[in-house]
Amino acid sequence: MTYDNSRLRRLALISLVLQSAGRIIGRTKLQKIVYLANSIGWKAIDFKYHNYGPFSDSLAAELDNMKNYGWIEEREIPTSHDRVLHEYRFSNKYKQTGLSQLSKIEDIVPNGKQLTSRTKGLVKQLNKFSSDDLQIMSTLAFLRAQDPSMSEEQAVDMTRKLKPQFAKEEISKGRRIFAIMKDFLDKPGRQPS
Amino acid sequence: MERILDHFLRVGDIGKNGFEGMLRTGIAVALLHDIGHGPLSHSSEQFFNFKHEEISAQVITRSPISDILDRAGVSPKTLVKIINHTVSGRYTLISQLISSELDADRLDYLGRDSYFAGVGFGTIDLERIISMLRVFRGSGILENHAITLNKGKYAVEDYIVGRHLMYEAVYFHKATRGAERLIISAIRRASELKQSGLIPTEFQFLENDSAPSADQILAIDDHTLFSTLTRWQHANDPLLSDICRRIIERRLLKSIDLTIERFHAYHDGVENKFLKLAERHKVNADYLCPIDSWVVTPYKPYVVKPADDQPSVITNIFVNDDAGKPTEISQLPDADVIRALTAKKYVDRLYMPEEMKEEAEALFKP
Repeated sequence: MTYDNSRLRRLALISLVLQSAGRIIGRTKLQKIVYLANSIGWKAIDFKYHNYGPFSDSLAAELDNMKNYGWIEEREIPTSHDRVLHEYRFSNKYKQTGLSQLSKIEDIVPNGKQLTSRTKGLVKQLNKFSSDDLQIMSTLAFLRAQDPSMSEEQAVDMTRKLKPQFAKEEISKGRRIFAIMKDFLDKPGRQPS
Repeated sequence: MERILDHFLRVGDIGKNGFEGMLRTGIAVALLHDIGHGPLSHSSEQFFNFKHEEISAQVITRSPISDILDRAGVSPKTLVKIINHTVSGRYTLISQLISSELDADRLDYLGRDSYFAGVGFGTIDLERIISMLRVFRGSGILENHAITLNKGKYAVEDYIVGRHLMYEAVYFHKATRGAERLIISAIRRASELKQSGLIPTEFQFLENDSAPSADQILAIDDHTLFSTLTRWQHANDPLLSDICRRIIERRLLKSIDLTIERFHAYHDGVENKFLKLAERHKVNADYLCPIDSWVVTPYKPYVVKPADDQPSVITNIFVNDDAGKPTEISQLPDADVIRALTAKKYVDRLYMPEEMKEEAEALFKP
């Protein structure tokens, strides 16, 4: 292996997220899905709180790299609001490369096969949510990850302060992330689905 | 920093009122913003997995540094905000001058690094750059920011080009990066071995796989690191001993540039052949054949937009256009060279011991 473990983990996680999702529309959405996927046992990428919730410079840089390699395809989608959305896919041409990284990481990480299987399930579920939903959900998860003693209610209150543009009901609905994550967190004796 | 602020006082862009306090703050932040660096500066962030900015913030806000700052009438918390670009008002200027595309740090280190590296480029027209700076007089995103007069644009362009060349030829030189990778491998190997007495007290954090604390970073320097590597040459573990001997005897790794074509060839079959080659040479590829990747943008042209709830600092360079309107420098009509330098450059290098290089190169030949 000629990539160091930490980079191989990063590349494998991003490849896995995009291959599981098929396509992800929006940079914010991609950042938030990778954040949540990373938190179920990958520990591949460090995130900080940024304007829209947890954000990672190293993820943004790695996406750039992977785009440059041709592994990831980025397509601009114009919207009616004078904004451009970006669609991300893992390139079919390099699917084999992505799979080979995954198999390397599965050999290195304890219960690697189980972790990739759980990640696939989580990503498929998360990709059904909107970018706004994921902003709220990832912020709630981030706040509690930073301070495990924080209750769900406290996380909701804090998120309302950080994101005054969202209605209280919207933020409160975001609490479903805790139930979703519970399903995909590592549990002793759990079998791959 | 002192020269720039003095210049602003001289041209009347900063008033005498409150200047002393601003100068003290500017000098303090210039002296302290990098106090959290570990051995070998930025390199150790890769070896030990920490961020020097976070260590700097901790050191600045605790005794004895915070006491000294308090006595000088400088707020340690303000210094941290200045470093983090979360200030507003007149300190925005200091924040921009301490860290941006045209900051006091870069103006200071470029010329010095160029001199000590013995290269002819990277020298800058410091006098001209400083004398062409003005504080923007107006409101909007540039309020309290330094801008450059139109006639100073060539000196600034020269500085951007010089910095680009220094990155290409010095900071990211293949030998430098290769040496860093060897040190990373040595530290990784020593941490994995978990042998009692192998890791000196100063590096105990490696045994717990944790990030170093501020105290631990302050306790180690280049000499501590190199004396440890020197000692590890005689470690019982043959791999650790081999890596450290390569560093100390300067038998550094050699590299092959992975152009996009080679990069894909590597992943489409060359990798397996390369790993077999390493095996034949009895080289542990996991530690001695790393791929080093980096991306550099010689000049970042985008404007940092303030977050919804906090002020921010504009970090790119604004120059007055021919009509006297501040314009981001890459947008000036005659800034073709700078526009070319706004593109990201991706570099991937495959490293290996010298004895493998010739055969490895042959693997990439069609």
